[in-house]
Amino acid sequence: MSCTAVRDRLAERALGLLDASDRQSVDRHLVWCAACRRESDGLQGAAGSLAFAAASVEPDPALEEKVLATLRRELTAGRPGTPRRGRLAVAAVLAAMLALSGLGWGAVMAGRAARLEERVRQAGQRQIESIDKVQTIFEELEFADGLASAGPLSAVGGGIEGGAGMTVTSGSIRDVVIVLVSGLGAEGAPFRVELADHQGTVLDVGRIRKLDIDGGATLIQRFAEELEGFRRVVVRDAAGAIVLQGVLDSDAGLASPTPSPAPAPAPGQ
Amino acid sequence: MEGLLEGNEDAIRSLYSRFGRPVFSMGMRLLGSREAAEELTQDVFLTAWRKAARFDPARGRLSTWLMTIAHNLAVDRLRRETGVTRPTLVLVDEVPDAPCVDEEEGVMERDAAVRALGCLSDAERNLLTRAYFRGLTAREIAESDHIPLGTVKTRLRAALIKVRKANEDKEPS
Repeated sequence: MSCTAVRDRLAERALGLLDASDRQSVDRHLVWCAACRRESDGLQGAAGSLAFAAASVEPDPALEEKVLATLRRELTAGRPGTPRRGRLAVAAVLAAMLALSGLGWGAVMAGRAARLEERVRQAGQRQIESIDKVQTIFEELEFADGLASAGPLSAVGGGIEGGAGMTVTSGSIRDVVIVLVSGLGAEGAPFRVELADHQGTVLDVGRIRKLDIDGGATLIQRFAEELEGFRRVVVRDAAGAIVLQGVLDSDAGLASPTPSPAPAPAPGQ
Repeated sequence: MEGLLEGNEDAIRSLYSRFGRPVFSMGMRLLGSREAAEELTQDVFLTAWRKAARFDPARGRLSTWLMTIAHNLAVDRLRRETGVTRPTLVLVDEVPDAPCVDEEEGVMERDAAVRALGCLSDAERNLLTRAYFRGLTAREIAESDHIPLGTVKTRLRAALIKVRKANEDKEPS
């Protein structure tokens, strides 16, 4: 869904008028689009404040105990709790990664394309597909005790290549690695992605064999092994040379990505 | 919120003392019966506990977050119950409200909401009231008023922006 279509629906979303399907599409967009999210937050704040305009009605004093009893029942049912910091870190890091998944726009706007329009379309499609994949994981993590580490991946040679990496470690689900890359040259494929700890142990995350027209790809891998401590991400080309690298930070280091910022998306995206 | 997430009883009581009444009031206005409003109130605090980790103070106030949960649950219920008679809305400026000295923040919120609604034209206030408090969709309003759907959407957005502006103006600089 484009920014225009989303903004057309934000007032209705704030007022609780969207049907489930529309709301889901809009919410998915808001996960990664900071500009629409700001607009949405403003309208949501306005709508939320209206709630207090209804005349106040005193509830039965016994209602407080009923509310507490309901929560006590839930607590004793042993619903898995999650440390707030960990869950917020997951949300923040995923949002930042989704923003970085738009790095492809850098190459698009750099004018390297012979057919700019087609590249814009493909880059947009890739972004949507990446978001869908990560969103699926995000929804799973909402109920898990995941703790995220993330960081930008920088080009070793100072080129237009870029990316982002994230690990999510959890006691209740298999640990996850997500790597987004952009701007890689097809001549270097297949690319090998590695994850290393400070003792030099290296895990093979997987291969990126196929790039989209913008040199981008998303690699998502789950591990039975515990990934805690594995912070260094390296992307090597077919010859073994490092093309991208970065260190993942447990404090949501993607808030200020170091790669050159992606230009603003084209209107309608 | 940390306390809520951990199931701390004092934290839950504190949250209830601040928002129990406005949540129940919204239930009364949207759902029309004390029984439904009580069920809604329990659902709202349960949902708030489940979603506490998602609350981000940088994106909005706690009151807005909680009342948004309440509104969404109430509207969902309203739509599920087909054939429900939508209750007539009574706004605070139309009903003498009993003073509530132990809910100073709640009083301030209500004052602010009434002030914000006062910034709207009668038509805008009517529009927002039907959408927010009666759960009428933009399409339903368009069909009822015989105006284009796009016009309703535009007017809803413009009215909300006015409310937002009014809220911003009353915020201390």
